[in-house]
Amino acid sequence: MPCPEQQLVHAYVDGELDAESAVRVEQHLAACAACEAVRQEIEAVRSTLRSEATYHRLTPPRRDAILQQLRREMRAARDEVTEPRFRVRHMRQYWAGAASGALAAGLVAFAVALYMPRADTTMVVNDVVGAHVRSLMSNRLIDVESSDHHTVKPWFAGHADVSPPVADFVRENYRLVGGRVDYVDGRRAAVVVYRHGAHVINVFAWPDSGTHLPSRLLTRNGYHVACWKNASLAFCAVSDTAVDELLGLTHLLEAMTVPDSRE
Amino acid sequence: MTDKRDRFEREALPHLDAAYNFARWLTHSGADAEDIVQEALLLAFRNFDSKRGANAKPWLLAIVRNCYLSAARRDIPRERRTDTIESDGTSGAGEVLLASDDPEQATINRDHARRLDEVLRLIPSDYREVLILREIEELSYQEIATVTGTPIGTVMSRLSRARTALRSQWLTHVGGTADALS
Repeated sequence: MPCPEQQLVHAYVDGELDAESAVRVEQHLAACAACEAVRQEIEAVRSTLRSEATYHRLTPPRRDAILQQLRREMRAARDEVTEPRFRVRHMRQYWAGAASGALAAGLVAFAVALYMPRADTTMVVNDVVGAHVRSLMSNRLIDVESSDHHTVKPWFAGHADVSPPVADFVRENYRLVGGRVDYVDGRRAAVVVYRHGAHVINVFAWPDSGTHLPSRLLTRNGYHVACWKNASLAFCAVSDTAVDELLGLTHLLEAMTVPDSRE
Repeated sequence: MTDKRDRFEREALPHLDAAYNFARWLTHSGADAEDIVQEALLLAFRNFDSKRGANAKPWLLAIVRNCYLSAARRDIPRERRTDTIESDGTSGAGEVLLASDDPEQATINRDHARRLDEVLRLIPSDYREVLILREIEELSYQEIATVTGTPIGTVMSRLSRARTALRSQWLTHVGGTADALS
């Protein structure tokens, strides 16, 4: 007969219990082998799902097409003009029909231009968001795969223009997965790749040569971009996590950067 | 109006990937998932003022799910779902289910991740849904209840049955060669 506490073990692993109940379940787990086995099974299912289940993503052209249609709707709402509403399926065929993709590309460029505040910040944001999306779409997420900062950090020395701070924030649930080099702002930027739950966070770092960074936080095409400068480095972190989760990582990173040579 | 648009970009669009992944797991089809996400985003924007709660994610995923259900109702004849297979994990059946009749597919199935995807498809859709929402999207019980329109008690019992089902399907079909779940 299953232990009556079993349901609570699930709630415990899911972080749904108040502190007092959690302590009670912990004590029970220490004493009940059956429930401890259940706890381990739950953890095994979780880690397998998180590491192995396919996280399906839109290809950049499909993503752009969907956002384009949405913006059309937004503009229509703003102008209080009721555009005819295309059946969604028809729209998709319509886009597929624009086989060259030239029209779509033109519209996207137009939309992008509308959303761009200033030229050089624009380029930086374009660079990092573009690199972020490409890294998710191709298998070129990481060049050096390691959760050990002693492996990742030296690797940058030979490959990028800078050697940024690297750490594995296990306790805060920002897992270091590796490093990569990307071209940002005309420099070979070091990219430190983290995983937070199912989400990838790319942290770009390159030498600050008076780069005009965008405001601290902005959202582009559904991706959040957080930028800051520290010592002689410019940083941009890009992800589709919630804002708070992205800022959680940037705070950790800002705290660990060595300020400057005077100290 | 621009304000609404900015807020929507800031609060809802970051969950576009989650919306697509969820739709993709509901439909098992990239094209259908795109349609559903497109429709859901437009609906979400129109009804953005009625959004309750701080987090837009469960709200958006609930809209995705509703769009999926109405699309499924519209398209019953051409439904090609594989998720109604109610395998209880008895021996024999699983080999047939997993060893797809497409030989290419069978080769790909060697891939570990691919096999987990297959196993996920074998469990009932209610179970699969709650596992994706909890373990992949990391929603709380309350948020899952919002998305699925079920009481929290149902979410809890379904989640524990789902975990048991996934594990037993895994052991039945992949069992001996896997380390993670055995």
